Formats: sequence, C-alpha cells, structure tokens
Amino acid sequence: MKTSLTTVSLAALLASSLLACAAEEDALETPQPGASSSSGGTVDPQTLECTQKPQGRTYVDFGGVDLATTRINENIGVNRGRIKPYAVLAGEYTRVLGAAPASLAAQAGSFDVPAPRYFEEPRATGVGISAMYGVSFEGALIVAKAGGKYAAAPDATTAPAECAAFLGKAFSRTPDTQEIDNCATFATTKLAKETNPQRKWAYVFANVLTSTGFLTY
Amino acid sequence: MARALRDPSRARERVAQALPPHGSLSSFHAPDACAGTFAALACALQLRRFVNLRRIAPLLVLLAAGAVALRGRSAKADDPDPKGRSERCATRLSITLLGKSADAALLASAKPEDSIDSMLTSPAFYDRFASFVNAQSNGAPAASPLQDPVYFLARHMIEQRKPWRDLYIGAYNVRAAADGKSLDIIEDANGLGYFRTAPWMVRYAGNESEGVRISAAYHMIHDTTGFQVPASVAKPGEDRTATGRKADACKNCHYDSWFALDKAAAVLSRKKVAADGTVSFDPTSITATALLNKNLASDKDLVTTLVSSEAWKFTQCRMVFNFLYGRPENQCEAPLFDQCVAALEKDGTINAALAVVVKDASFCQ
Repeated sequence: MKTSLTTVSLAALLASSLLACAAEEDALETPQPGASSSSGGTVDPQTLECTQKPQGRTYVDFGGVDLATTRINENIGVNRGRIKPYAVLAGEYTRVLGAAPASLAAQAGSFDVPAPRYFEEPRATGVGISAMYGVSFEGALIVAKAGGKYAAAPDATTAPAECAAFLGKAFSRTPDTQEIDNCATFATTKLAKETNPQRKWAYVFANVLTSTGFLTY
Repeated sequence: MARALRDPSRARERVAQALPPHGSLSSFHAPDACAGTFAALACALQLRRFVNLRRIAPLLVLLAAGAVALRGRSAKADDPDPKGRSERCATRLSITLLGKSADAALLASAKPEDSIDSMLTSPAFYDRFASFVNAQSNGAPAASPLQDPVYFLARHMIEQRKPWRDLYIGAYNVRAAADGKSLDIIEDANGLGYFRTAPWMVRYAGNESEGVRISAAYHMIHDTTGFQVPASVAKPGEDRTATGRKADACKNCHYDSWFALDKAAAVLSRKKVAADGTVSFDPTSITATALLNKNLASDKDLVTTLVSSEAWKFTQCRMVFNFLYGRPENQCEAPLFDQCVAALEKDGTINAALAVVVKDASFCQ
C-alpha cells in the first residue's frame, strides 16, 4: 500500500493493445504480444519523509526494545492510498456512472474478497485490475451510448472538457492540468483504430476508472 | 508540528519541478499525478477469453509489477475544492469504518466528519472492526462461526463499550447460539478473555509430544504485545522434546528470552488427546514459572502481566492505525499515536482510542 513511489506505465501497452480492437461491438480484445511498459519519473525522497520528527512517548517491550523504533520515516498524508475493496465497487461505479455494470456481480473471484468475520487488505493484482477494466468499459460504454454528446468522436475541444468533468467525478476532486492533458491526449491521439465514437469515449472513461484516482481511497 | 510537514502541496511543487515535460503518454505516470495516474488497460482483455491465463500471462506480469501507484491527495485549510474534499472524506470514512461506499447523504455532506460518531456505533462498524481484530489474532479465517471466539468477543467489547483489556483477561466464555450460526458471549468467573474458550484452546493446542501448549503461549504473547517470532521447522530426526528445545539452537526462544515459550507454556494446562481423538486440557500439570520479571502461577497471571505492559498499549494503538490507515503509524504521526494511547488509558475502550485517530483532521487530509 505504499503510495506514489513506483509506477509502471501501462500506457504503451494500452496504445499497442488498441491495434487489436475488435470490430465487434461492446467487446474488448486481447492485446498484441510484445506490449511494453515504461517507468514514470522520480520522486524526491525528502518530500515523503518526516523531516522534523516530533518527540513522542517511549514504549518499551519486556526485552527493553523501544517499539517506536519500528516506525517508518514518512510524512503525514503521503502514504494514504488503499485499494478499494470489491464490496464497495458497485457503489463507487454507481456514484460515477449512475449504475453498477452488470458484469461486476460475477467478478468477485477476481478480487481478494475476505471470508466472513475476517479481514484482508485488498491488493492491486493484475487479475483484479484486468477485471476492473472489463467492467469499467462495459459501464462506460452504456454511459457513452446514452449521451448524445458522445455521438461524435473526442476532439481537441470536447476531449479536455469531458475528461475534466469525468476525472473530477471519478476522483472526487478537481483534476490538475496534466491529468486532463493526458486524458485528452489519449482520447484524441491513441484511439485511431477505433472507429466507433462511443467506443472511443468508453475507452477514455474506462481508463479513468482503472486509474489510482478511482481505485484507491 | 511544523506546517511544512503537513502541507504536501509544497512537496508536490518540488516534485513537479523535477519532472520531465509532460503532455505525452510517457509522462502519464509522473509522480505528481500519481493519485490520478492511469493504470489503464485499454482494449486489453476480451472477457470471454479472460479465463485463458496463459495467453495473458505477460500482461498479468506487467500489471502485477506496477499497475498501481498510490498516492493520497491532501486538502489544505484553504482547499479550493471543498466539495471534492468532502466527498473524498466521505468515501474514506465510509469504506474504512463500514466497508461500504458512501451513501448519497454522506457524499453530499459538507462535513462528513460529523457522521463519525454514528458510524462508530453501527453494526457494520462492529463487524468490520471485529473482523479486523480477528484477522490480527488468527492467521487464517475459521471454517465455522463456532470456531471464531475472537471475532464474537471482540465484537461484544466494541458493541458494549467494554474495557478492551477484557478481550484478553475478562471473565467471559462463549457458547454456540441457538441458531448454531454464531457464538453467544456469557459471563464466566473462570473466563480469561478468549484464551480459555474451547475453540481457541483447541485451535492453538499445538502438537508438542507431551501436550505442552507452546503454540498457545506464543499466541498469548503475540496477541497482547504484537511480538512475533517465526516458528522453526523441524529437521528429520531432530529432537523436538523439552530436552531438544534446551539445545543451544533452541533454548533462547524456549527458555532464556523474555518471551521464553516453554516457561510461558508451563503455566498453561496441557493438551490431552483421548483414544477417540477428543482433545481435553489437564490443569494439574501447571507449574509456576519466573517470567516477565514476575513469578507466574497461571495463564491468568501471564496474560494479566502482558496486558498491563506498555507493549500492550502500543500494540492496540498500532492495530488502530493499521485498521484506519492500512499501515502502522509513521514517525510524524507519533503525537497522534500518543493521543490514542492516552485515550485507551483513560477510557479503557478501544472505541475511544479509535475515535481519537479517526477524528483527527489528518485522517481526511
């Protein structure tokens, strides 16, 4: 649950996989072999550290060990992202899309659903995120088909506006310029192989719904 | 605490300065945008083919390697997006405390923190926190509710706002409810938290040849103080009896350390297995022992000493942080952690300790 330290971009994978998009409506296609990833930038460690350590109480165990020495050197507010559990996804999709995609109910096996009377911290697994993408695309396509404004493909005018609105809704905050730019760039330059405008929008929204801004709380 | 520590926006500015120019997909995952990073998988999986894991194995490796970069967003006092901040706070509170997405009323609330008290008295919270405590004590879920005394007793403590230490030393026992689907909590003068409940004693009776309950002793120490020591694996032919455990390689953990497992187990009844496989516990074999700087004569002496320690308070508040944050407290959170301990000391309930942490402004920060 470490936050913001490491990211492997799936954007290249995403872009290359679009080449394999099926003409079949409402379906996703498997990616082409050879999809690659790239690393993101770096973070100044000092921004994550507790640079002015407050003096707290000392807690010593029976062996004389100061238990506080096990604390990690982190700042307040930098290690907060937790993966949303499967149990809340229906509500979260409803919050953003207006309804939970129908296929979500059958996807419990793709997530770490804890046993009754037990707790397990949800993890971001490949299987889970893959399932999330499929479910997100399904829900996003319904939204795109229902909205007349999505009858036309995203362009330099509509993409930034719609990206900003959808990002804000999904992330519960005002997106920054870079996030909007990234989304709009994806919408306008990476979906050339997809000819259906509504499916283009669905891909854009599904991207947002499989990003950390939506997947974590 | 210095304002600079609590203002991640300044940190973000410094990070942004260090970033390469953006605007391309290669900068999709710039650290400053981590909270909104696209971990997307466009057009990647046809659901009908999804079951073929071999076909998508390379993709899964990629995803597992780095699909998520997590970063919480922080709100300042002069947050330009108060509605978003409230909505995020509502979501965080609801999922953390109740395990549910926030309802419409909470999402629309300008101050979702005002709902914390009602959340902390809801059945959903009782279930979630008791489940969390259960998972901290047991390494795996039980097959049946009748084997889950930790869950039901913890839930009782939370729901009835009983002293939290009584989870470990309280005069309680459990019995199967009439419906056979849960355990009822009953008062029992001979009780010792969940440690003398039959399901727990059987589960952690261990397999020592003479019935010495080393596993139970370890779990008593672990559950109360958070202390962990990995179990060793026997080699073929290795002497695992008390004599063998006194050998150089074993005696530190079993006889010499502050947590000397055999010494702790000496004050526990021994496991007996009848010919038909029935497990019982023989209290006549209990032997007084010197441990934890005390002379201990019973399991009650042992657990009471453990629960009276600084380590117990520390472990309970660390558990509170783990529940609320999904991680232990960090160095900068030491003052808040101390407030948690102070609340536990003053009020005695885990409810009070947990409320201090979740009501702190930093939780929704």
